[in-house]
Amino acid sequence: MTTRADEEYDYLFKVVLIGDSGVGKSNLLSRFTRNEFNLESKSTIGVEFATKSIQTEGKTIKAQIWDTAGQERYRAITSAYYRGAVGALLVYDISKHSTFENVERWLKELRDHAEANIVVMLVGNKSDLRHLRAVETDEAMAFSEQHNLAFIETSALDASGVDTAFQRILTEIYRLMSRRNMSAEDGGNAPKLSSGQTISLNADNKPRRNCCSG
Amino acid sequence: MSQQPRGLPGFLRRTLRSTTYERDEILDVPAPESTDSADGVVEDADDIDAHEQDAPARTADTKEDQHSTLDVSGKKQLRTVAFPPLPREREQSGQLDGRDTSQDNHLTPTPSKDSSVSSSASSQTSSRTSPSSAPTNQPKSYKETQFESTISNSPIISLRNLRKLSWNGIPPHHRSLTWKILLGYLPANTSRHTSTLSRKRSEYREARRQHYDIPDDSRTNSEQETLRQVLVDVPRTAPEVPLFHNDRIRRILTRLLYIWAMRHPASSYVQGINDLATPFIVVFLSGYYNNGQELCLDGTVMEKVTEEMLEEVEADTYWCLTNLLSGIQDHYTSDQPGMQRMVMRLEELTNRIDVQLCCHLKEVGIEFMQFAFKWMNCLLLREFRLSCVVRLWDTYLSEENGGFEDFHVYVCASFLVHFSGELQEMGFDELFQFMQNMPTQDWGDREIEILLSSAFVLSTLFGGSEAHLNVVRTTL
Ligand SMILES: Nc1nc2c(ncn2[C@@H]2O[C@H](COP(=O)(O)OP(=O)(O)O)[C@@H](O)[C@H]2O)c(=O)[nH]1
Ligand SMILES: [Mg+2]
Repeated sequence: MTTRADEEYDYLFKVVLIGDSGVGKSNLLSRFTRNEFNLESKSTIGVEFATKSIQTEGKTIKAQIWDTAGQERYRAITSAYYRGAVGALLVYDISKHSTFENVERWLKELRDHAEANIVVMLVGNKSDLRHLRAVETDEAMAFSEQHNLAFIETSALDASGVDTAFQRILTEIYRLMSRRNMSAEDGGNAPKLSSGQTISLNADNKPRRNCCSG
Repeated sequence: MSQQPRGLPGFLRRTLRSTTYERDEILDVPAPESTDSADGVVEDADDIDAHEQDAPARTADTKEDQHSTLDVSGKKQLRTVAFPPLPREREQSGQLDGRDTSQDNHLTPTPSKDSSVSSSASSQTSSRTSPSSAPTNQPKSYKETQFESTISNSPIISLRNLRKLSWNGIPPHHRSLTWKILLGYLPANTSRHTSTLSRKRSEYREARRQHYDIPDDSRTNSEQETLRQVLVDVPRTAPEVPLFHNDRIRRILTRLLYIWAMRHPASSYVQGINDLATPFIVVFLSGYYNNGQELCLDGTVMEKVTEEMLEEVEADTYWCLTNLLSGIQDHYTSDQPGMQRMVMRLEELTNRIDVQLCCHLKEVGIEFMQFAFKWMNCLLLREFRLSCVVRLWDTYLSEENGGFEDFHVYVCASFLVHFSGELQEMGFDELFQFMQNMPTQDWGDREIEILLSSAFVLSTLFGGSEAHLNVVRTTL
């Protein structure tokens, strides 16, 4: 149940989790929003969703995070959920090289279906599996620089990097948005994160029982 | 949690008041077939409405309970009156005093009452599967007696009777065989069961040799990708059920899913199909043991299960899954048109029975696709405990025209509308999260049966032609 504190926020950002199935998207989400990890979580069918608010630069940002099914067959359905997303965590599994090779394909998905100015962060998950590492940090780092992506390694299992990953992408979205808003006020026609993207959902979520529910 | 279908819209509640929940009381009950002419059977069939339920198997308590929960409508009194004492008498004369051996005999012509259990295993398991030892402490319920006479009485099982009985739930130790028959895996002619099983099982062994027992480097890239996906999903299959932690179970699940994918390239393996295999594994494995479902679910049964039994369960599961999926093929092909169609039908139906709820969903911005996709894709396996799904599927399997396609939509609508009141209090976040994790943890067969009953009422109201609808409307 959402508490009142959860409902009061300055901005609402929609972020999607994408990547091959089994890389740990659902566990990253549950670790971040509920501090839970489950070695035997069920596969995600369709989309799932959770929210959490964080503080950055004096503002409260509510992240609305959409977790999608990774399998190819579901792309037709899941791609609809890229609409309105201002951020994407593109996850691979550091112990399975093929999931890293597929990152290119996921970037293409984003180019085809997401907003052009979406902030993308590459996330190498399962960093706890040191003895099984199949993707070197340097390799992933180089790739992310080349594609202009933020990059971090995480472990949903031992929680390392998880909060940082979400904190960083949300902060980056916030900065980008403020910058764009400013340049828009300057009269430039630089693309800004349209208010529609953040506010359309905002409207639905405006505290309905702000004063009397507890 | 209140068990009443609070969400039922007023008109439906009214309908339920004047209708009882039993399917046969709503439908015309076909006259008993003359082939089932053994004494007593005809009489039973005539009385089928009156004591269809297995009330005698339950304690007086639960029975009472059940009625109060079924009672959205003052049906409780009706019900209690409607139960004639006959089943009780029968069970006393037939079981408690142990005198009625003639009945036992004609009900149990073979040592293994489940002819779907193979000869290889029956020697080891016959003592456990022998029906005479079946309900050790419990008296045989009326429902069981009905099943036994339908299954064992004549060489050709009356599918119509079997369907009719199964709609209201299959007694656990008849389930394995009944599911196989209802799915068309086994023929109605019982004399052909043994040969059918041995043929199908050897066909499966052949498929396994061809697709599975080959070196990995002889698989194409896409085959390897499929295998990888299956291997990712098998350990995530029904993790709340200890049985599925067992390595041998995981191995057969992996194999049969992969082989199914190889043989059905138009859809190949799609996540969620792994879920659909689980009821079969549990039910077929339970078929080797009396009252084996609990034993199976908690995994303790695996100590006793032999390799032969497991091989049979694997092959039977493969074929039954194949038959199930062939009825809903386009749910899993490219773009999943069947899934989209089902979700649309659910939305239409909900709009007709609970427009307020639909308005609310629209208002907060939730689309049916966002929550109902999973209901369709996994046939409610993600919403209910496995044992509840098994009960649900008894009814689905007994539906003649596509229980998994058609009737399922009515069940989903009843399910959704059941929570209507709560849902209408919720905003987007809360509602979405509620839908991801529906509060069905305490649901048992009873709640499933209520759900089925109201789904049935919906299907009679909205299932037929427009003309039919009008008739019903005017009687409201
Ligand atoms: N060792 C390890 N295992 C993980 C980690 N994150 C997820 N897993 C496991 O990987 C499997 C798939 O995780 P899941 O979150 O369902 O992946 P998804 O398909 O991307 O959503 C599960 O068995 C998880 O327990 C991690 O950081 N470390
Ligand atoms: Mg997932």
